[in-house]
Amino acid sequence: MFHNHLLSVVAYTPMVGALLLLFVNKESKNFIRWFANIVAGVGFLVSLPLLTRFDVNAEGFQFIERASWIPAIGVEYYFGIDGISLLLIILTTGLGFLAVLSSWTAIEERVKEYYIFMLLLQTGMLGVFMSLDFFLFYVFWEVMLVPMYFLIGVWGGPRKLYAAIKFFLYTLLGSVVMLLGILALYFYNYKMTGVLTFSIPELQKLALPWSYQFWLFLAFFIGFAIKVPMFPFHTWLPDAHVEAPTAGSVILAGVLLKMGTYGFVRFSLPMFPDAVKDTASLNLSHFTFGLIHYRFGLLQLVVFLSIVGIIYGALVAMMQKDAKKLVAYSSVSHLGFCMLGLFALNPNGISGSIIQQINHGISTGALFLIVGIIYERRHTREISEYGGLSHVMPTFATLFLIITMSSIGLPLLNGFIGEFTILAGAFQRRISWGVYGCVGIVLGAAYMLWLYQRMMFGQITNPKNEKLKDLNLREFATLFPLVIMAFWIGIYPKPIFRYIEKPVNQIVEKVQPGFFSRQQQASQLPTADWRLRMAQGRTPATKQ
Amino acid sequence: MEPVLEVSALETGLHPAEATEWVVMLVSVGIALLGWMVARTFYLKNPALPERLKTRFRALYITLLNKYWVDEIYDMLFVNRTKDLGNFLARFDLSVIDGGVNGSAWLTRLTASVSGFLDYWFVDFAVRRSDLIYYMSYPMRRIQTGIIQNYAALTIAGILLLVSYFFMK
Repeated sequence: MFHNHLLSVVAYTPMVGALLLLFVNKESKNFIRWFANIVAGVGFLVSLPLLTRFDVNAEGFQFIERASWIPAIGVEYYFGIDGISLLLIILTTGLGFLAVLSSWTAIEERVKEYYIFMLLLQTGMLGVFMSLDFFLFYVFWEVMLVPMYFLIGVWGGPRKLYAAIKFFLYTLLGSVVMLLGILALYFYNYKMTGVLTFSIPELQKLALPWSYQFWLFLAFFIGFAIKVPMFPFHTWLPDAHVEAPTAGSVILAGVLLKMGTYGFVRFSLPMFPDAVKDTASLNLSHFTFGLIHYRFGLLQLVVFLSIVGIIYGALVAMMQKDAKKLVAYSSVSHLGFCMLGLFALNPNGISGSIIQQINHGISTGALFLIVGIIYERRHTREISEYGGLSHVMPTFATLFLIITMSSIGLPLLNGFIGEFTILAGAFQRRISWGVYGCVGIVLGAAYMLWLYQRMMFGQITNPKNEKLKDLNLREFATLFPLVIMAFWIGIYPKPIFRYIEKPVNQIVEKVQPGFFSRQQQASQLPTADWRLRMAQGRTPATKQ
Repeated sequence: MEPVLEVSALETGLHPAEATEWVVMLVSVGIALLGWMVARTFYLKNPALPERLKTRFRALYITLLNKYWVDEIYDMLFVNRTKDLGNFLARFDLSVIDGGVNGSAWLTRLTASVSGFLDYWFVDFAVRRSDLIYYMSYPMRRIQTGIIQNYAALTIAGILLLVSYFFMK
């Protein structure tokens, strides 16, 4: 029976663990810790068969589970994944386990409730990536907010309540607008076909008229852009990240932000292809009282906000005095890259973006773990409090350096693969987009290396740092898998690209019909002139 | 160096410029040897000489010592300006963008407090001061006794009043 319900097993393993935890005496803290860690570990292990059983050559969704749930309004329990969601699911289960493992000593109060919320959060996130029914998707999307709200609000830092409420209200605002969009789709589908259904594959078949595409794109955009977060909707993120406990920040950066980009990939791109290609429907004169006449479209708007996010996020990150806030703002910059790649609308850009989402989960997840490790020892995140730590914590310094390099995008490490592919896609679409992206990479190197230099190099100036202990085995075990993954994706990313090749091509074909046949024609041209080929297919023909 | 020249030679169809190559090699070796000899003079043979040169060509010495101030110029032009921009944007983020978010929260609280005021002093006022209804209804209660004779007397009085009004007019 479990063979046919693998997705449900993966999704509900953490929740079952959370339910069982309810029956444990809250005083037996160590038992709770062991139990939660084992559940999270099992949660990761049961997700691994997805990787091996997934057929990379098959079209469409796999591991489908479908049952009627609320027939009166056409709601179904409908699970299924493609390569994109598969990678994000593995990221969620893996990172979730490491996050649970990292909280062993960090959480001393209300241990039982903490682990219950962590496990529930895990189920919520997995459900979002698996749902193929809009209603179910929305349920999981909202369910996920609740444990996160409590994780920030109960186990957070000094301004935890402010951060938790801001996080909750801001994301809720976005998701309610998205709900309006979902309902509009639902009723439009009913008007056209006479069938009441929330099924995402069904609704994706709709050919929406322009006005629907335009407004629905905006409705979904608000929901997803807040989640990503894109400039200027990003200010909940530094607060939530700084106040959240370490594991919360890891999950927040590693997985929750990917919900936004996942939404763009899954819904906005394939469902509103005219809107995402739009380059002429808006005019700046509407917003400037007729002063400036500049026609642009939704595409330019999104790309503009992404590029602003990349550079702005990097510059703001550079000047932060709080290490955690720095990492938080660097997320704004990195997610800007992911958005830029998506809206390059070609295979390179989109697959690069997905790889970069995974990479960001690995690198930034690890960076938050690193800040958490150091915070547990000194209870401060002020960068100026540190310096010269590499003398007393050599193992820590080594892993930190590798992760820093991975975040910057050094070749042989994961960040390079993602950023390079995204930039290749952006260059193909428009050279200036790629150039702005490169500025972000340079700034990224600047703030990360400067952070590392200020914290780790030089002499120990603060006597409080002289007695710091290096990583213990558990801390090492939380960081090391991420380092391995960083190297693996950096050296041999092909297996990962293979998982997303089919769905990415499908999305590109949906957004730009005839893209691949044009590309094939271009590659058969007698001339080897790459400019002509770029002009024909807007992509190089060499991609297996 | 050789493979590079070979390729270019193949492509352009020219002979490899061997003479140029030799000149470049000799000049660079010469410069290296010169540097070695100067260092030997300064540090081993005549350690007093650098001191004298230092006092003699003070400006040149300081310029060289500070590496033509390239780092300082670079800091001034690029590094610090980037940091300024970053600081400005960080303040902008806190004040304008996050200010906007907090401002919208403030606005919501403001409108909420206005409607709270209206609710308390108008809508809820009627409910809260239901005793006012009690006082206002006092005359009614005096009339509405439930005794049939009172009603009959009142009715007759009313009829008399109406009839007398009719005749007076």
